[in-house]
Amino acid sequence: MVFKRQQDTEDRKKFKTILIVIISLFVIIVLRLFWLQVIRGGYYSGLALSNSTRVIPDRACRGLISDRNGEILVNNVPSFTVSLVPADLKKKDYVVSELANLLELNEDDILSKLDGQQNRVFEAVKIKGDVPSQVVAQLEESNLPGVRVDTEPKRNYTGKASSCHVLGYVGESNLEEVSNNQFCIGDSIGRAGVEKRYDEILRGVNGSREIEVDSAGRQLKPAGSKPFVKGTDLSLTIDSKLQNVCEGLIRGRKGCIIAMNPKNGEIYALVSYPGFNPNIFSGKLDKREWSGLINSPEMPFLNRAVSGLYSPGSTFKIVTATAALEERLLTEKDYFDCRGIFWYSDWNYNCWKLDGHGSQNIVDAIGHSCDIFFYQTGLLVKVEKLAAYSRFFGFGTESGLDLDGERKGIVPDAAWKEKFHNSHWFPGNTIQLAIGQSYLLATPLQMLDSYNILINDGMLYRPHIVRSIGEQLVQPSAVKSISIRSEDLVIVKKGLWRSVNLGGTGRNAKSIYEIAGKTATIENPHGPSHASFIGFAPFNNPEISAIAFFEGSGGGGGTDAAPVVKSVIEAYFKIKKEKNAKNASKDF
Amino acid sequence: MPKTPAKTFNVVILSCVCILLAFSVLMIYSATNSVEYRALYKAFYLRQIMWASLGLVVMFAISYINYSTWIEIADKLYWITVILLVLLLFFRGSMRWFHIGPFTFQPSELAKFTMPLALSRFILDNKGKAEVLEGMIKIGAMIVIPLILIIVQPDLGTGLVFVPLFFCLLYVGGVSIRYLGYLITLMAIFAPVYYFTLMKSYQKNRLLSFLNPESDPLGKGYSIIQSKIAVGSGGIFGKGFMKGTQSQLNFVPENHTDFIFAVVGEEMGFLLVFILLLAYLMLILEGLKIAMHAKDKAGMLLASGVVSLLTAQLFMNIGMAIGILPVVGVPLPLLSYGGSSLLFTMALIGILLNVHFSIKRSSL
Repeated sequence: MVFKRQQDTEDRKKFKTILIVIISLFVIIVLRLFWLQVIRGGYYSGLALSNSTRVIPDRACRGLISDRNGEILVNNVPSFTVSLVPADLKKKDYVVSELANLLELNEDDILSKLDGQQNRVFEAVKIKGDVPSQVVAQLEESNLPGVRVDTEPKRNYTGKASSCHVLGYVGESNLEEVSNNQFCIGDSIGRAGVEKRYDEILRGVNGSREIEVDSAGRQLKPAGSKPFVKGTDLSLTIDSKLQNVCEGLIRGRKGCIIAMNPKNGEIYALVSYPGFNPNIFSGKLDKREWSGLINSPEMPFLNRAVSGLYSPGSTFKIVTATAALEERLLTEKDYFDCRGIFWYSDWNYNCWKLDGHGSQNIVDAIGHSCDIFFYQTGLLVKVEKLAAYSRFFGFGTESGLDLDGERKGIVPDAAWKEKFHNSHWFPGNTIQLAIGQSYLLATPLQMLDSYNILINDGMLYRPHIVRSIGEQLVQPSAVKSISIRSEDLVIVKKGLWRSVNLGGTGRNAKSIYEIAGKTATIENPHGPSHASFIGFAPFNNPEISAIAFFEGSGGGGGTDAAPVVKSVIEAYFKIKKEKNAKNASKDF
Repeated sequence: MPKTPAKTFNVVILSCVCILLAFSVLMIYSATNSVEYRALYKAFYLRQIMWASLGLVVMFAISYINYSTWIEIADKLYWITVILLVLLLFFRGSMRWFHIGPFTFQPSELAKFTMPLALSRFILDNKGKAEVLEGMIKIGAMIVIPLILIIVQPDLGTGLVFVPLFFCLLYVGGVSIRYLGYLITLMAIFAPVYYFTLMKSYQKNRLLSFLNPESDPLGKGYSIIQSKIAVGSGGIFGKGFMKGTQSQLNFVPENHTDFIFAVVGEEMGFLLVFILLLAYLMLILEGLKIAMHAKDKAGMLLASGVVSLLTAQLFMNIGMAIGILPVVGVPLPLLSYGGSSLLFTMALIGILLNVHFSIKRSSL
């Protein structure tokens, strides 16, 4: 009995130990559950949610771009986009190689895109846009895990006006921009033209769609969405009809045409040739095609109107003339004799007309573009004043046009030459500068602006290409106002009238619309001469000014450029008449 | 003292078992609701209802068989088990199941039933000897044969379940703590040898991914991470029946068998899981009470064996689902889907009930 009791207490002790072990195990489980479910419950809920939720970026439609009459120049069309969800990439190597094969991409490119968005594994990464529907069909057949096909807006340039340099183009965000977390892979970003300058306005805000998926990445049901905010529409100052006329006039030549309203700075047309088709950038871009464009000696991406630098040549003579008149160095009554050649110390300088113009006053000299007259006038004005007046007329500074890539050009003077050429300024340089040659460099837009100042009696409006942002009109703003005595302006303008209408160099631009203007045939040290003409109309109350500038055309400004400007100005009035007639008929 | 003793079922055990079985059917219904499962087999929960009913019949039937009968035939059952395990090794290669008609039979689940019986029998036969070294070597050899056969299947989990059973029975059988300490030391020395020689690479991967699951979230660490997310995201109140995204969308693998606890944790939440654990605890503690009050050593050993098997499997399964133990394929007793496991667990509980009868009988 005693033995039995002892056995009993021993057993009791054992079971107590076992009891303690069992209870401890349960306590461990409960404590762990408390940690997981109560303390860290929120954290794990988040993980569970992202586990089963895929975020598909809902890319914003960029704003539309239309011309001044509401004609749509750039819109968006649906296209197929192939993307990958990193979290659903179960057989990564296989899927990537299949995808590279089907989409004709490099495997490394796909992998680097995936790495670019590494920290967002539940978000779809765009691999390729604008995928043709046959490829989409193949993709859907092969049913690769983690691969998605969505429709997305693709930028489309309607070709209503193939104004590639004005509109620019969009490209996909690069990895650097993505790593700054500004963009997602595959976002469209303006890369040139209005698309670039107004990118933030056009861009809009991306939305997203959330989709519940199962562990195999199969789409089950939408789980919520944040709609995108469409970008703001832009209306340009461009008139697509006039733009098309200009396109037709410049095709096959190298150069640019600008037509604008001198009274408020609105650009009606701006073409630079050769150009490119902006649509090629919105979707797939053939690498060979791209490098062909970028390395072409024709430089199709160069917007010659604002980024091309040339000597203005004889169109600059109005600056020399105005300077001489303003500085009272010359009046309308002063005459110079042109014998076709001008001697200065031991150097001789030709007039373009080798047998000479004879006796010329300032109006005749502008009309005939007499070089000898302006050599002597330049020597009277001297380089400092010439440079100062050049700057008054807008040379040497950007015009402020709302497109990227505008260049300043060069207004040379003694200090400039000392600095950049380590040499003194010689009177010969002044002689050259007086006719717009020498070191003077300007963009065609600057050349046109110098005429706008003259036309507007000293007022210059900032040239601009966007007429309204959304509903808000862009107000014309004056860039500068210089005071020129009106009698001097009358004299210079008289010269411009004479050039076109009284048998001057610009006679080919003579028109019923009372065009006045100035030619230039510019010596080009690199090849055939450039030709340009700047004109405006109607003479007494100008509402359009235009420049045609042809690079290396070999012909004269009067033969090559003047008829083009005439056509542009006549087209402008024709379009205006049609529009008025249309509006009038609407009123009835 | 009446001739026929008034047999009373242990109410605590019966109600706990019934609650857990009902829970099992519900959870399996929820876990197998997705398209994949329905394509595989239409109604796992119907099968589970069938197995549960069959299990109840088996449990009641066995509860009427005097447990001394099991002790008598324990050595025969032991050898049958060993033979089946050897056959499995030869005929099925590396597999865990025999196919019998439409059903599968898992000999390692049979071992969970026969091993406690065989071990109890052996300890009873070697009363006194089991405490000394000679007895310990014998009993060790006895458990090592099926253990190795199971581990090479490879079914490490089931093999590991026998370790606590072994210790528990030796301890209850009277082996001193000191010897058990030696044994543990011996095993600690053997473990690294085992790791580098016998362990399959997928088992090593599981072990390594347990130590650092985030190193390969979509590969080796996947099930641990997904199961933890499932349980954790259940929060205090759970996501609701059939509303767990982790379970319903198949993020948790094997969510009707080994990872059923992930479904429970996600859909039921902390409070209900706590209640579920209480049911298990009550079942196990009631078993322990029966063991303690058993009228003889045989009853005590058998009941202890049942208790240690239930506890070991419960802790290993839940521990795996909540990320405190590596992933080993051990079912959650009474809850996981699976006929063999359920039937043999119920059979063990039947023995427990019979041990309980004997107490009643003697106390009357």
